[in-house]
Amino acid sequence: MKRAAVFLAPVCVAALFACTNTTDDFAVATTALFGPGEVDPRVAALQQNDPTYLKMALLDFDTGSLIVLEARNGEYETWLTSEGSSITTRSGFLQSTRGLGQGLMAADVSEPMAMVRSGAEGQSVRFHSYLDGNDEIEIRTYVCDIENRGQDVVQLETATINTRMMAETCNSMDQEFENLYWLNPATNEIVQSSQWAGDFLGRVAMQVVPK
Amino acid sequence: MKFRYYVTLAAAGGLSMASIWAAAQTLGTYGTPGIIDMPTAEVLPNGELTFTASAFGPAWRNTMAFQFLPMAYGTFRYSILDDAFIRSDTGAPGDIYDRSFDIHFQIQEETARRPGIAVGLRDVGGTGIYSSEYLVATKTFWDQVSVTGGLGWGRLATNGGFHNPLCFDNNHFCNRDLGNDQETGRLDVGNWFTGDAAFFGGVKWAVTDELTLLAEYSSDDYPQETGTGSLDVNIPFNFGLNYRFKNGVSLAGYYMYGSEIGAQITYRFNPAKPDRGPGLERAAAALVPVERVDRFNWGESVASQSQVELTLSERLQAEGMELESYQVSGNSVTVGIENLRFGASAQAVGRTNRILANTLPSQIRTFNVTLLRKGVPITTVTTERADLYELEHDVDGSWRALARAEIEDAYPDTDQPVAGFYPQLGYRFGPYTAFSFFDPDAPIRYELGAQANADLVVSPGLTFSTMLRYPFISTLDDSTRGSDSVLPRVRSDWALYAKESNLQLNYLTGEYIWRPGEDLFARVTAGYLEDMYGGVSVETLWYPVDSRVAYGIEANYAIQRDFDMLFGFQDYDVVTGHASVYYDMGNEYLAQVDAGRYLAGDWGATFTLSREFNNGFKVGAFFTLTDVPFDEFGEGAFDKGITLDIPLSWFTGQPSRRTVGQTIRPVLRDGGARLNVNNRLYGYTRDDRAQRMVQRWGRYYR
Repeated sequence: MKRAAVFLAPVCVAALFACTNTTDDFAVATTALFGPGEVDPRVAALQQNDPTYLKMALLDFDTGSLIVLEARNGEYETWLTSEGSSITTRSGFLQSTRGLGQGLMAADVSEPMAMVRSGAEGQSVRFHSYLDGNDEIEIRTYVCDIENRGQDVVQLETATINTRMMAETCNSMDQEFENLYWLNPATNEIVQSSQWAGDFLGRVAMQVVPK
Repeated sequence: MKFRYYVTLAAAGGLSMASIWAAAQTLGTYGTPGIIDMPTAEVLPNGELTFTASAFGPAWRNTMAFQFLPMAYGTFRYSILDDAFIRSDTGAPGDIYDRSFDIHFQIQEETARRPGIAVGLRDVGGTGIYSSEYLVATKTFWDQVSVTGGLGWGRLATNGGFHNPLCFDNNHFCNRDLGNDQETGRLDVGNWFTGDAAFFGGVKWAVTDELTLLAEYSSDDYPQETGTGSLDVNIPFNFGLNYRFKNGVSLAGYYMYGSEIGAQITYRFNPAKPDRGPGLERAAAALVPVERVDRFNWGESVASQSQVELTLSERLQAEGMELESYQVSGNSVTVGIENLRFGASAQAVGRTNRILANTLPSQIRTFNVTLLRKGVPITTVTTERADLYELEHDVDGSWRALARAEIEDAYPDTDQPVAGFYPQLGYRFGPYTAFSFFDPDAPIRYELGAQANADLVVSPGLTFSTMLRYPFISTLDDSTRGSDSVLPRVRSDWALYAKESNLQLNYLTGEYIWRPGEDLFARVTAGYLEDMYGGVSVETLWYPVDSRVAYGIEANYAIQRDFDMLFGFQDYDVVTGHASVYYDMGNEYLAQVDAGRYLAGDWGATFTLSREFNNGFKVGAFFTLTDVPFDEFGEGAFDKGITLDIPLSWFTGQPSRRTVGQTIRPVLRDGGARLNVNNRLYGYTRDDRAQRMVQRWGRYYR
């Protein structure tokens, strides 16, 4: 990040005093330096109507926030951060991220999803695609071992529940990660998880927020 | 498509072992892979760009090196030499500002058993201050110690020189012309690898990932520097250490020739890997399932056409795009879009499609998105609405969407602007900076001031534009060097323009761009075209939508403007123009040839080769040869230079179409000088033509 800031200095000096109706240099430069500074208007609109929230943390960046449900389409749910970045989940499985740097373009998690939800142990395969800084898409295949780690207690905002904990340990030629899922045995829903979103973002932790 | 990725992955896996040796860990005082003063056979990682400043004794070397091919790098160096040389003009020791280019080819990559071997030319001019050639081998042991040995010519044979192994029967390799002509710039191929030869060598020991210790035996005796007393060479050995930080910066310290302390800082990075990855822009809205779209937008009521159009226009505007036209026919819609935000056209198309899907009534099944620039239709992308939903979460969604999309030339032009869209006024008022780097008398000249520009688009393609500048601080006009050109002074009087102007009228033009036929574009521009010329410019470009190649012809009548940069003209006028070929060679390389008549009336051609990273970061080099003899051209012998174009989004991570560019010429003279007209058609259309759009298609679902 430092490099960009140093390079950016002249751009900002130029932008700070500029007024224009065409290119939004000012917005571009200030956003790059200080973040958007305001809540994304789409998020602000959603917050008016008692939305559904999800607790999210980027564990490797020590940052987290409540993210708000923007859309639900079958198994897929898309959640927005206040800056307007998004995370999409498929029945609680991390499906994609947007606007968070080199995140996850998409994932095919159907195999591990079936096993985790049924509590089955064994081997499965998952696919991730990433967009890199050179606008190229890389698709990676991971072979994963799924294990049932038995009962575990999860402390939610408003309740404490007994869950079944599932672990998924994945490897590719040069990457490895472990995803953890805590499922409510009554509904078979994932109430808490820690899932890997690639080299750059690392682990994303999510926990449901009961209404 | 998938197949390709697996192949790439496998290749990357296989290469990673070799690249441990191949990628140079430290750079020397010349800003290239080396020990201290001596080169090694290493290369930089492919695509890497480095900036190095080193200083010891009388020499300051500032070098930019670029690994433009996996096996070859090139450099541009600007050196400041304090009283180290007898100046040819004064006959006394004086400061010299020297510009030099190097080139280095790896002949053999290092493997577990064989050393890496490379051949290189420093200061390829052949008679310059740093002129030298080398053949060098480097072998790494235990992943930590690399040993280098080589044979040098020219400057690299001034210590311990012996009979050139290439010299026999008194052939041309036996004697080197040591003219040391500081005013040269031509390629003296005949001098390469001539004269004495000498051995050099050294060792690098990577103690840790960060720290490397260096020792070398130098075959450079610095004869001229020692002659002027600016440097003592007591021993031919140099020692040093180099420390690499994780952020790309490394620092080095040296003890050189038994007499001097040297210091060096290097910054290296790969343009393909910006800090913010593919960016931090806001997510597009998730797709609303098609069966819910109507209710989602309009509740129980039925929307009118104009309501739909208004909502569409607002949603596009929120994403930095203007809805210029909107036509529904049957089950398909055609929209014309001015993309003002996204550097990657594929992303503009992807976002437009998602906005269309979330806004239009469910019976519309086909989306035609036409990309326009100032109302000129460039390319149309056709997408089936159903594919958008199907591939939204697909692991290979962007590429599958491409396989199902149709990309066509936006001709015939059936575009009907929405009522009241024109005229469009765009303006900007703010500060500006202008730089001139590395001219023969000063490393940097700059200007800072206020700038206003405005574009009035009256109707599709018809634009009136102007730009005014008022400099507050300027060192551009400090140049004391008058033009000594024997050619018409078409560029070399640039300093007079800086000196005699206050308020500058940079351009004031009327421009019309249109589509005369399929895959054809045309432009007419008239008025004050650029800082130094006014006149009329006509251009046409043939650019098939999915072609790697485009052909253009341009003709101009140009009259030189007064030095005050206002409305008057001087009495020099010229008919100038070029035929151009543009070729996207693939793998990020672009070639361009422009042949024709230049501003001074000289005939010739300009050759440009660029490496354009997929993300838009571009590094290029060009040279122009014309019928002006090298002696008449003056210093530099012919026009040449390097260009850097960096998308603003590369720095900021925020989407933008803006690019920051800088051309660096060793010297600006009158031969091979081209008119600068705004909006040449290739640059105007390229981002939106299929070849380039598809390169960045990974951003479609971004």
